[in-house]
Amino acid sequence: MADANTLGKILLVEDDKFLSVALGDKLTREGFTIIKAVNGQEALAKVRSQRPALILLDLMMPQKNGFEVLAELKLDETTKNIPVIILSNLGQEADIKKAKELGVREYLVKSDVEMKTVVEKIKAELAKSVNGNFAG
Amino acid sequence: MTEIEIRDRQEQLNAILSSMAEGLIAIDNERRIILMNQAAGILLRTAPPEATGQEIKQILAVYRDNQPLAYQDLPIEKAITERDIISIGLLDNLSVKAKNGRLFPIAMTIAPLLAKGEISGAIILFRDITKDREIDQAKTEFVSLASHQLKTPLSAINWYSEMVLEEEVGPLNEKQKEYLKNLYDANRRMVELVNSLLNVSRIDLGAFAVEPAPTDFSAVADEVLTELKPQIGLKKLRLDKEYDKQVPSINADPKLLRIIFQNLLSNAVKYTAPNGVIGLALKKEGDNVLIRVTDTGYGIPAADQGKIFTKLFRADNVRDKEAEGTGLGLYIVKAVVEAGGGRIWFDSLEGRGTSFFITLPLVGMKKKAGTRGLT
Repeated sequence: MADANTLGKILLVEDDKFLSVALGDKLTREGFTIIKAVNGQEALAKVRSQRPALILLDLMMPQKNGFEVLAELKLDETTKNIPVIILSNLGQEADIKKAKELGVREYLVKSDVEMKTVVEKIKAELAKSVNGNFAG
Repeated sequence: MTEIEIRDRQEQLNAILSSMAEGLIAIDNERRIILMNQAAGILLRTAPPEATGQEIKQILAVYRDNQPLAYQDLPIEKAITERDIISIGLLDNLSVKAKNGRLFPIAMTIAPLLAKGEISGAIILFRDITKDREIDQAKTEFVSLASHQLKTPLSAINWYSEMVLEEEVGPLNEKQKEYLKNLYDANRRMVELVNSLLNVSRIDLGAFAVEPAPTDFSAVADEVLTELKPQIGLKKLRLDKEYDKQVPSINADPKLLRIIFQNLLSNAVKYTAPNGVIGLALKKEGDNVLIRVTDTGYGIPAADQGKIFTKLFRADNVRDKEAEGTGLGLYIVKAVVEAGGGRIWFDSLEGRGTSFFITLPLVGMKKKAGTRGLT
């Protein structure tokens, strides 16, 4: 369960510097607190140390790809309920299916999605997870 | 010529035939093999004496996409009846199954066999193009990989220009807004082009999947029309819709169906002058659904009509008018329609307009496992 002061904290996992800056700037302006990771390994370490309210996750990355990150998050009781939004340029049915099987609810394709949509989806997921936690 | 000279000449011809690297088969008017050289024997794993006298269809088993090809679909008859030389290459995707079961891709040339002005059969020359196929595959994989790599910087351009356009980092003057909007739109087109290239590479690799699910054709069509609304409005086009209520929900791949509607309808909009009419009809016709997309647009010049489904081809009359086309859309649509067990054709008159017709079977598309889907 996320506690109140981590509600706006987002872990941004993206290995491309330009995309990471674009997303980071945008989300900071929207009022979120941003933590960044550039590979899967670092992402897992930061999930454990920083307890983000949501993870924005790329799939193709060095040192553990997004699927491996998802699988490890799922194994850990303390991390398995953190909502994850995939933001990748892999847009194949098989990739989407695989991610959904690993518990992902929202899957966005970078080159096809506007930034404002990314923000909307993050807000919607956070709202769902807060409600979910109260209900649970 | 003396008998010895004749024998020498005969031996010389035999030496030429058996030294050829290509397989050669000659058939008579009864379509029986009268001659087969060494190379053909090795490629087909059949000894030439054993093949001689047999019908060509017993010996040369031709396949397309791993399905046996009916003899009448082979252009041998065409070569004989039309006295034409026919070449089959890499893009025709034909393979031959040797007697030992090995399937290999072939290129072949079929020429009518003429003796004293009369057709007395045909000569078939063929070779194994496994190597060519591998090179072509490497090319396609490169296109796929390169296109994919382009997506990351394209996403960056999209996002940064979106943020600047939304004036998140400060106000813009009108000209700056206009220029940025152009930059943003051009980049969106580039993303579409990259997506098309990826689709083409998936088609060419034979790697795309067909995943049928009960699909409402009119719903998919309406979704696409909604997306095209701004362009239709901008050009003041009239849209005529005619949906037959009898068209049931069909087991078709909704993504593929979307590709069909998207390409045909956006073409109709793109290639029709302002105030024109575009039409979409869905009908039940026998065992098929008929999709008809019409426009009162520029039309396809008669000379270009045979080439419009060819990859990267664009008709002469629209190159100057519309800079946006890629020459990939109809190639993709045709591949998709055929993968779905359907047919596509068109009627067009330059300056008057074009109608595209597609039929897809009511029984639905066959599922095809593939490593990749089209997007």
